[in-house]
Amino acid sequence: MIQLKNIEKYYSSKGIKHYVLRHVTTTIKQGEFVSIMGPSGAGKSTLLNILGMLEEPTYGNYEFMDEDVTNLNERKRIELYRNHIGFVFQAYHLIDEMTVYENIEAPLLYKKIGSSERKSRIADLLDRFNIVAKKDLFPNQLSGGQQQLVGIARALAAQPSIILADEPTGNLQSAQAEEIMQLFQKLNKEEGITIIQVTHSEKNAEYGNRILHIADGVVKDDVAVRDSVKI
Amino acid sequence: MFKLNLKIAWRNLWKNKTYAAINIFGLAIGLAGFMIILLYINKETGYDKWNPALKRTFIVSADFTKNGAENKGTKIKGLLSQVIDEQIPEVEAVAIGGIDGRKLDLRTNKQDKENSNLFEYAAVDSNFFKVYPLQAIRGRMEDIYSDKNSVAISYSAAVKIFGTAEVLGKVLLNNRGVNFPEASLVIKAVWDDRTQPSSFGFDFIKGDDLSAYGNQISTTPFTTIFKLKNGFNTEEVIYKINDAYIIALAKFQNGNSNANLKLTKSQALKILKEKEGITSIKLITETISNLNLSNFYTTNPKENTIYILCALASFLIIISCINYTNLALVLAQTRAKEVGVKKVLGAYKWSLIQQFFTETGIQCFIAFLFALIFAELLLPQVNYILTDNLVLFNSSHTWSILGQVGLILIAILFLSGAYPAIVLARFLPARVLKGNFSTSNQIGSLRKGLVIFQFTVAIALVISFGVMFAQLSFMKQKDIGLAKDQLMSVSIAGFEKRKLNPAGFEGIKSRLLSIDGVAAVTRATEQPINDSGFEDNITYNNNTLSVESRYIDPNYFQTIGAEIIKGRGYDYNLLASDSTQSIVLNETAFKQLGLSKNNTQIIIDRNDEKVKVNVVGVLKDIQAYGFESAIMPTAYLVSDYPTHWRRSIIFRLKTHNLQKTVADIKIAWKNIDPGANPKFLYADEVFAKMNSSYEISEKIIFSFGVVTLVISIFGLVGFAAFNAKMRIKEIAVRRILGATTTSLLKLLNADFVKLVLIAMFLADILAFIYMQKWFGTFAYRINMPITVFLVVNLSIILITILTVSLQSIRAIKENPVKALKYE
Repeated sequence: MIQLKNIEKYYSSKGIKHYVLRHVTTTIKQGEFVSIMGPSGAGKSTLLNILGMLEEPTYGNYEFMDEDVTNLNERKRIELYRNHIGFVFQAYHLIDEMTVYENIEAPLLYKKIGSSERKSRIADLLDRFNIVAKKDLFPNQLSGGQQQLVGIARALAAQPSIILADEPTGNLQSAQAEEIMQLFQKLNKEEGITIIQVTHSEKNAEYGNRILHIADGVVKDDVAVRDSVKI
Repeated sequence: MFKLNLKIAWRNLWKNKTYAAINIFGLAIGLAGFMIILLYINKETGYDKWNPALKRTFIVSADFTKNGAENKGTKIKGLLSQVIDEQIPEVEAVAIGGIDGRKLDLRTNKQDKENSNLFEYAAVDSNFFKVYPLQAIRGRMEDIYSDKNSVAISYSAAVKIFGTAEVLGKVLLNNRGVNFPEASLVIKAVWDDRTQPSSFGFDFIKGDDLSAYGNQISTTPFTTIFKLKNGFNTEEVIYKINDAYIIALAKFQNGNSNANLKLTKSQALKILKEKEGITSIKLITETISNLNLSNFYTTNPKENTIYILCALASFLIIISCINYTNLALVLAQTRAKEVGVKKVLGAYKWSLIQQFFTETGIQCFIAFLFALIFAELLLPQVNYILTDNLVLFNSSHTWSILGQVGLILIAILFLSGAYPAIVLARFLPARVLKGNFSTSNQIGSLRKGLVIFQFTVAIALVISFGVMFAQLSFMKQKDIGLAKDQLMSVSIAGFEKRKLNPAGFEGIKSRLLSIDGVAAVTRATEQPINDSGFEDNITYNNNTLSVESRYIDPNYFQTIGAEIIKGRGYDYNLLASDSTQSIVLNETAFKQLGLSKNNTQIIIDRNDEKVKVNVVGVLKDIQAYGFESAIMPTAYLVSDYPTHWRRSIIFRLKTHNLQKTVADIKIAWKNIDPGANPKFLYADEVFAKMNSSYEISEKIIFSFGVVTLVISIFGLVGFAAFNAKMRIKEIAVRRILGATTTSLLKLLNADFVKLVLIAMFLADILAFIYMQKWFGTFAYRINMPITVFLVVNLSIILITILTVSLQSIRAIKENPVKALKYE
């Protein structure tokens, strides 16, 4: 599904190149649950941003669903966002002026989905995440865990084939974090959604089936997670 | 989608209530001002546009130089209309009449004579409506020709007099003065002057029977208007008329009416030069539909006023837009996250731009509604200042005004909304969503430029107002050479009573003096503050000077409170010699004539006869012509009662019980001057009227200055509040490092004060240049009041510091722990 070849990212200042990523080459298949780990400043988030096409690599080649997306124009990129990619953020990034319902509805509106279809999908998601009672509340009226649930529901609304999550549990207490990770695992196993997350926590990484260790912009280690972790 | 955008826009406005209110209020004030100006402009440009034919309708007059003096006048000899009628086939119709400046003193039979009103009227020939196609809404316009007492009346005048437009057949009494009996006029037609506004400004039209003029018609001056047939080149025809008239005039002056005599134009000009001393002659032809805005005879055409008002209105709108843009950019910071999220959810840039425009649109619309309310509330005030009658609703062009405002609203939408929308929609999600995102550096310099522009305009206007105010109070307070308070004059109507010499007037005078509250009574040919209408030549040492001469009674100087600075004034006891051998000059005349001491013999031309007179006294200058023109050299004479009628009776009143005194004078006047309709004039009011146009512009500049300043300060409030909020972390850190409140206030103020200082510098220069130009119209002016500049500049700085400090103090007082907790 995703193929990175020799991805490099650096910033030049005063003629000196500061590398954030070097020689990143990897393939992520449909249905994988990948965790990107590493110390602060290793380049995890940059890699995720490149995967999400929020940043362009300085060098290298990126194929998404067998299509070269290294230098994609905005219109095509947005088409991909609408149909294939869902984002989940550490700070949730819900739109403060919209209710829970409207936040989940937003991607469907951009995708120009008819109103009855919209209603049924949102009702389904609200029901699945147990937040029906909260649908008319605004984000600041919810707890962090609930906000992140809404964030995930919003990411799922457009029925993406891949979810990119940047430290999805970074702002949450451990109980809530566990709930979110279990949800991710379930989505991955039962619906076959590809998930790529950036995380600091070994425990969270265990929920996936593959871990990319990054240090100083280089992939140091690429290991599979044994299926021993129980749900 | 649109509905959701609208909903979110609304929630956003609600969340940022204060900023939204500032934006909307500022914009509403700007729009209201703009609407009022638009009303004025629409009204002034709307004259004589009601019939397309008015574009090819012209008014003609002549500008000629005769014996070295230029002669201008809106009237031209009847000869021209005959020439056009006979020789110019391209002209459809030509009409003549007395159209401007004629007054009728009218009352209904229910009113008494004192309550009559003056109305302008036109007396026109039978072709008039063929040229100037006024349509009647009641009756038929042509019926005014049926007899000489038939008139047509304008809708406004009908409503003013009768309270209704149903006035056909009603009778009005025309007071023609004590020397003629009243005439009754019958209304035969009503035309609507609201839908057919006319720059001529008459309220009545009478038929004029030209046959009464007989042979004199060719030489009698008339207002002449003509309508061209469709499809001819205007300039060619006008050229043709010009030449035809010059040739006809030459033939006429030559006494030759032979139609077969052909003259060329140069022959004609030669005859005119030899026979009449006319060295140049040119017809002035002006299109009627442009007449209201500018014409040959006005030195200050309305066009200029309109340009100035347009400039002020645009400033107002631009400043409101700047406010909007500025605050929107300031708020951009908080919207950045939203933009980033929406983009990764699959929103196109275009749909985001649409969203931000929706928000601007909502605010513009709300502002528009408020503007309508403000405009309606402000209109009476504006009408009072402009002595105009502007109406927003229920006028014939309400819809076109609203349409124009709609267009302006769209322009505002783009002017104020475009830049922030584009800036916002351009945010890159990768940077925005990371946190720690700051927009302040990207858009800082533009924002600063906008603030500087705003304050420059506002400060320049306020300073201009201050300077105007200083000049006007100088004009009000300056010693004008006479005591203008409690100085009243009235014109005596009876011809016999005007002719009286001082001895003959004594009876009337003592009767008036017996009224308690009348301190003194005197007479002159004219009221003290006015043109006397007389000129004489005086000579001393071969130096001849043309002076304005005022013919007065001996106690004139004491009564009006004028001061003799050399020699003596006139004396009743010396009247016999004073009236033939004495003259009093004002300082200007005394100096210009080259005199050094009084009791000097000078020569005055009297009916081609040179008479020696003795300068018995010198009078301190009296400013009888306001402040634009220099004081005229003036001579005061007590001679010549039979021909220079002392028709103006001047009263010096005592300060107490003024109303009762005036009432008593009115009662006494009925016996003194029976049948007259006296109008009492007060010298201070007459004087104030001369300054009224300056007072109007002062008030206009004041209003605009205040409004722009308020809008700018509004903007500053929002900007400063947000700045403090944005820098809350920095403030907290500085506090922990030991900064005091004062030092923090200084820090936060520094940026704004710098901007305002730059604006002030620019504004001072602009205001100085503009005011220097404005002073150019005055012969008597103050020096450029530097204190005004100082006071305005200092107050603006104070206001700025106060505003910024008030907005910052909350951020400074906040507990630093709170600000630093979230990261």
